[in-house]
Amino acid sequence: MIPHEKTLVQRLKDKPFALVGVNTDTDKDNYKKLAAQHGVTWRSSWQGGTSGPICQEWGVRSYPTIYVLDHRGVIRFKGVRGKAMDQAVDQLLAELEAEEKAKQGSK
Amino acid sequence: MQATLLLLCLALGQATAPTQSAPQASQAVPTKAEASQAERDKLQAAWKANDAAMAEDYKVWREATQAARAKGLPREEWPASPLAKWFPLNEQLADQGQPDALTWCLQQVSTSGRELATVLECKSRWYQKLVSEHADSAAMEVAFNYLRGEGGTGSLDAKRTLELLDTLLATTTREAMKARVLFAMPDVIARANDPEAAKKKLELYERLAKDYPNTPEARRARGVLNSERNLSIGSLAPDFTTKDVDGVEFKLSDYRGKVVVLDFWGFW
Repeated sequence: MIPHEKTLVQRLKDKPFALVGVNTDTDKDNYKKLAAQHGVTWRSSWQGGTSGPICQEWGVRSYPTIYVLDHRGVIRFKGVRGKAMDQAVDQLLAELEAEEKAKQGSK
Repeated sequence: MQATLLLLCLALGQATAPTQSAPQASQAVPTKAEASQAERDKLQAAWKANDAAMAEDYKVWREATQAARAKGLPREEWPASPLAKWFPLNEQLADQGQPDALTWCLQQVSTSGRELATVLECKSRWYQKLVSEHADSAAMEVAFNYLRGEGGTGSLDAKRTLELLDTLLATTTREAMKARVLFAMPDVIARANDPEAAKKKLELYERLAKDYPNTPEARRARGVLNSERNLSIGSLAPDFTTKDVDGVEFKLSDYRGKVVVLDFWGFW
């Protein structure tokens, strides 16, 4: 899971893309150690455990849980993992690029 | 043994029936309620005696097992567990309705070496006693954790499990337990392969959130309801303000204009 996300983040480092985590570990020091070990560069909200406020509000009962949002902040995909997650992101990036091209063309 | 007890109870019940309307006479002849309380006390004392003796047996057994392991003896030569001795003894108390014995037997019956059909028949009968007669007991609290996990392969079937949960929901007077039952039901319904499971889950969660709003289960149910209603594909993701591991505040909406993968995760 983490190696896959790392690859995605590296591949899209020059694109309008962000991986935002909501982390549910309980020990900050251990988290920092593991994050360094695994090369986790993305930011995560610190929940302090699986019953953290955002996890409760979003009704998360299993991990990992993935949402993919477009550039407007609309939920476009849920529960996509691995290749399906990459495809979802690529599709939304293509939409965003097409939209920006159309804007430039109309100027 | 059981038949004798039953006759005794019946006899006492009949003999004392007239005194029920005149409690002041209860000093001479015990009322039905007092007689059954005395019976319960006797069973509880018997359970406590078993429990203490059992703790001793298990301690001896654990030590002997450790010694056998240390000597490098093969598994077949390790001492036998005291379960074979204690299961039938505690089962007698369970069948007479002693709540702690019921819970103990429910926990142990799967490894008691009986046929699956017998195990399931026992479970069904023992859970029934607990939910109908001891719904508010500490023993029920423990047994509930077993009950909510039934309904899968090799355990009590989902339909029977739901019947028992329904009974418990009606018999318990404790809000915390009612909330736990409502929260557990959808998982059991899902194990029954009910095509309406998703719909029933939301109905149960709505009922839970409405009737027992201050329980932890209601909070979790509200989260699930929120996720079904406001976190569906096509809805604007609700914003949140939070802090990262270094205590730096950020918002989900800070990433507006970018495609975002929002990942709930952990190393654990």
